[in-house]
Amino acid sequence: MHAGANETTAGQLVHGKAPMPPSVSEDDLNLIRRVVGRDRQAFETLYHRYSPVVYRYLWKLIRQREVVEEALNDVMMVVWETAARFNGTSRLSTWILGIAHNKALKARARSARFDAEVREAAPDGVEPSSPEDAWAHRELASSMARAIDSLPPEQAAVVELTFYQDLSYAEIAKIVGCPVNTVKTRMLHARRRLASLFGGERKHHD
Amino acid sequence: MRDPSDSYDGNDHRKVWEILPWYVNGTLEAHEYEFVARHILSCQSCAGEVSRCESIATAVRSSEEAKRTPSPEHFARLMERIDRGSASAAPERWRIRVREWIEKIRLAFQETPSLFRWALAAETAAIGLLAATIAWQASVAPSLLYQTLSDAGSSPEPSRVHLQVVFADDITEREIRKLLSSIGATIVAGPSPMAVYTVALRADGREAPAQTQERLELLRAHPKVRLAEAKQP
Repeated sequence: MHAGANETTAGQLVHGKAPMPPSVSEDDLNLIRRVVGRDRQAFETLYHRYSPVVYRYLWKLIRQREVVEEALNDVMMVVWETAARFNGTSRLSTWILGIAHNKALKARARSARFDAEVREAAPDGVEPSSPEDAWAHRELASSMARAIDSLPPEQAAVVELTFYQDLSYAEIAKIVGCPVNTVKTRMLHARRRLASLFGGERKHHD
Repeated sequence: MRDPSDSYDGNDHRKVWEILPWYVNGTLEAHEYEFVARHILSCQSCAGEVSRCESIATAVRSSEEAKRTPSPEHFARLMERIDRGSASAAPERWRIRVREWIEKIRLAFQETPSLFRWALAAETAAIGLLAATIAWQASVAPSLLYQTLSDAGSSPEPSRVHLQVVFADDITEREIRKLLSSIGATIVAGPSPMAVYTVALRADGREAPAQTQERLELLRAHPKVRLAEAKQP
């Protein structure tokens, strides 16, 4: 955790959250141990705990309901089959999302229709607001969500894992299988793209 | 915009700028968190960017996908697939293992400094060349290989069959010993973090798949064995 009351106050002034060390919870560890022992009830608990998170992540990268469900099936099958290989050095969600990321990439590669369909589903363009009020406006969230959906998949994955799954850049690097600097760079590109759509001015930083 | 009157170091500013999203989601290490918190007090540009990152976070969390969930019958279909047997999944398990190894090697390679990376690549190439030379010698000119008198008639030790076993939490050490002894097995590794033991069946040179299966079934029939399966080679 971060140290010192002064720093905490400084952080709170600009809304940052205090750091949380990533580690596997005792509950998850017990759960996965029971799954290793072929405990179906434990597997069902694990499924209901993590399938929404995995489903959402797969959806972000695949965007075809049938393919997403098939990929989720594959992910959970791998969890069931290889639970003994979870070594407890990361959160259980990080391990499962790593499997999901690989499955999503495979599913995308298999689906020849993917790119065309995503282009159809993506917005033609986001209506840019004026720079003065764009970031403060109430309706920004939905326009922003559409803009995020139009990001290239590797950038969308980093944005999703950061802001929805609340993962550290090191955990994201583990999930997507790239160096941490690549994660930071993908995020910078995503931020730059969103800023250009919403009138932010920051090119001297990128 | 950046305030020109700010007196921070440009390099620090760049470092802070790139990790702001993880300041917002609260996953920075303590020292990074303090570094960022201190910097943004005197940097309007970064403070503004924190707000923009928060807007992105809000948009991500409120998007329609947050409400998407797998269909209710999905879990039942998954369990049906599991019930159809793991035999058909064996090739998949093998592929997963190979992929994991390749991925581990790739990550380790990426994290190695570039100078060492080249040295490692050169070493690997040298080892590969050496292995190829030995293989070539063995196939083309076996008589050139060094042999001793004791080589004559020696045969390789029969390979031992390995099993993976997970015991119930309340099993005693004595019960494990008795059980393994009854099927002629010894522990060779474990327990892993997931409480998995690897046991080897006693090699007598004539272990047939049917015998292995028989011993597996004996293990599975024991009330304090939660999992027993043949270890994939």
